[in-house]
Amino acid sequence: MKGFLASMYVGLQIESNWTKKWVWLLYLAAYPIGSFLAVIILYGVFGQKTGLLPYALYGTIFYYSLSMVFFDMAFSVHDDREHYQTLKYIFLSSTSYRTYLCGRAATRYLIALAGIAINLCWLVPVLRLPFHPSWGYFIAGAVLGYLVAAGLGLAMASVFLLTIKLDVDVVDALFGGMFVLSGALFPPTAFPAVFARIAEFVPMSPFIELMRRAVSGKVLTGFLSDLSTFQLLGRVTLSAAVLFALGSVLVSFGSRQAQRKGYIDVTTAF
Amino acid sequence: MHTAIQVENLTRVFNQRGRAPFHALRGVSFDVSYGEIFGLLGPNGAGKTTTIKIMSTLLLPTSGCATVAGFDVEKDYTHVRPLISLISGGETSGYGILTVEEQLWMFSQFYGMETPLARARIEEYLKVVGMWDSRRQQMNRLSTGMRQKVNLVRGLVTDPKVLFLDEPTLGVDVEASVIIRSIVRDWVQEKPERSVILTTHYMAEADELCSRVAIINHGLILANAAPSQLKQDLDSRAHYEITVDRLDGKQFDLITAFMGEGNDLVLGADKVTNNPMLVAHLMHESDIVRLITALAGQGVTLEYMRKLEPTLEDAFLKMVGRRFEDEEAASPVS
Repeated sequence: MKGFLASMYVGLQIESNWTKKWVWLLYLAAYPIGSFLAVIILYGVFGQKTGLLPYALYGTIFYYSLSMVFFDMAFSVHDDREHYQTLKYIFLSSTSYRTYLCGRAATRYLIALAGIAINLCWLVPVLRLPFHPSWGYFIAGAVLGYLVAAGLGLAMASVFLLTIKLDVDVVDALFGGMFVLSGALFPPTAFPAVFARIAEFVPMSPFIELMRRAVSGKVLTGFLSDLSTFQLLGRVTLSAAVLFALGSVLVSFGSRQAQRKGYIDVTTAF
Repeated sequence: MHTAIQVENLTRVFNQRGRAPFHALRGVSFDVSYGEIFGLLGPNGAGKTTTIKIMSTLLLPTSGCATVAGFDVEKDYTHVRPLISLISGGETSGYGILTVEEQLWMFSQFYGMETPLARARIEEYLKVVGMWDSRRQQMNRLSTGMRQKVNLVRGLVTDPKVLFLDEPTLGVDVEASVIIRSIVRDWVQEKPERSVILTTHYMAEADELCSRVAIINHGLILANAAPSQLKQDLDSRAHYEITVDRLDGKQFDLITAFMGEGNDLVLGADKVTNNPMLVAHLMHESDIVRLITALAGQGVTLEYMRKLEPTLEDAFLKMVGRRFEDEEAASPVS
């Protein structure tokens, strides 16, 4: 637990310690705007008639909350190894590397949620978004969302542990692919049936839909509409458990392989 | 149990794409007792860092085995890690945005230390290294020497049983090097269950700190003994350099004859004063008394005298056949 909290602290310092506190709070509020500004323009200005603005906006901001976490976890492998050169010292400590990564993820997730909360304060009244929160589902979803993000982050971290050169293109492609397939931006029911079916099983899809319903209090489109919110919660629980377990196994495997290959303290000046 | 570390027939091969495999270690064996500072001495690329990486569980061996405090570094690494600390020189590790104090506290938490104990140890060691006043400075504002001192404190705060020092004074100024060496020596003497493995390519550092030294080159241990033993094995004779006020050829011949066979004398000139200088290679330490008596008998006054000690550099030269620097220039870096 101490290791987990210390990792959270490092994460917070890395995120916030580069400027004054008030500038950082401003940044915290402004940063997520980039992720949903395009959605507002797309569905709020040009595509008003579609009525998809609440669906796409909620979907995008909750996708953002997950993606920030798992990409940050993956990049932290590279940062700690090459930039800070602390990875080997973390590895050699009594705290498992998985715990360390989860601590870093927790900070990133809380920061992302804080950014979302700040922005919802003005987005809901200005854009007249449906807002009838179900706090129970919201809190459960938020906790499970962390596990989903951490599981994916651990899986990506395992890949980064075994990759010496940082390949940003692959990460970008993954980000874009999952964004489309998870139904964050538009209902996958618009896809041909086979893709729509695949989208239902993209790990983040049930989480994003659960959070949409938890915040808006409505089923906004036909995507996953055959599931009750409680069933959706069950599916998110299952995907969180599977992803977190899978991520844990993969990061253990990745660590051992990195130990075998001598990649834990490798620096390439890349 | 008296053995802190046991290494048996350790090998490590690095497969390189498109190139022949690199054999970093070719069957390294040694052991280290508690209370000992053990040195691995060799040029760059000799296999020192690879050995230390394996012992500290950062790298897996290709074959052979190593134990730390009785735990296998390959299979029981979760037991090994809480007992060890690694400090590497010549790097700029640390979260630049954290202060010295925060950085050290954070690592203490990774070892599960209680915060009050961690803070007390951080204060103690920061004072020892003379950095208590810099505790609130950000890591990225520190000089290389200061960073290395923080690195050393990080390694000591968790009170490890075995401390791995990989070139700890690399790139550090003379003053900081002296402080680091002194702290390491004091630290290991403080508790009998502590031990240190030091890799260095500074011969004098190994000579000063280590109770035993293994000379390693091309992944093989060439010798493993106390520094004094390694030097003694080179040459059992005693060597002296004596500067005198005057000494002509006739006097020199008389003294040489007096000293007898096996004692070699060479007459030269002191580089500074240009006075006559004798270099004496004596069969026995006690022969120096006879030599001084003989010089006095010739009415010669001694101006300066010093005993010439063989160095580890000489030992390396004898074993490898090349000087340390030449070997470094020729070796691939592992």
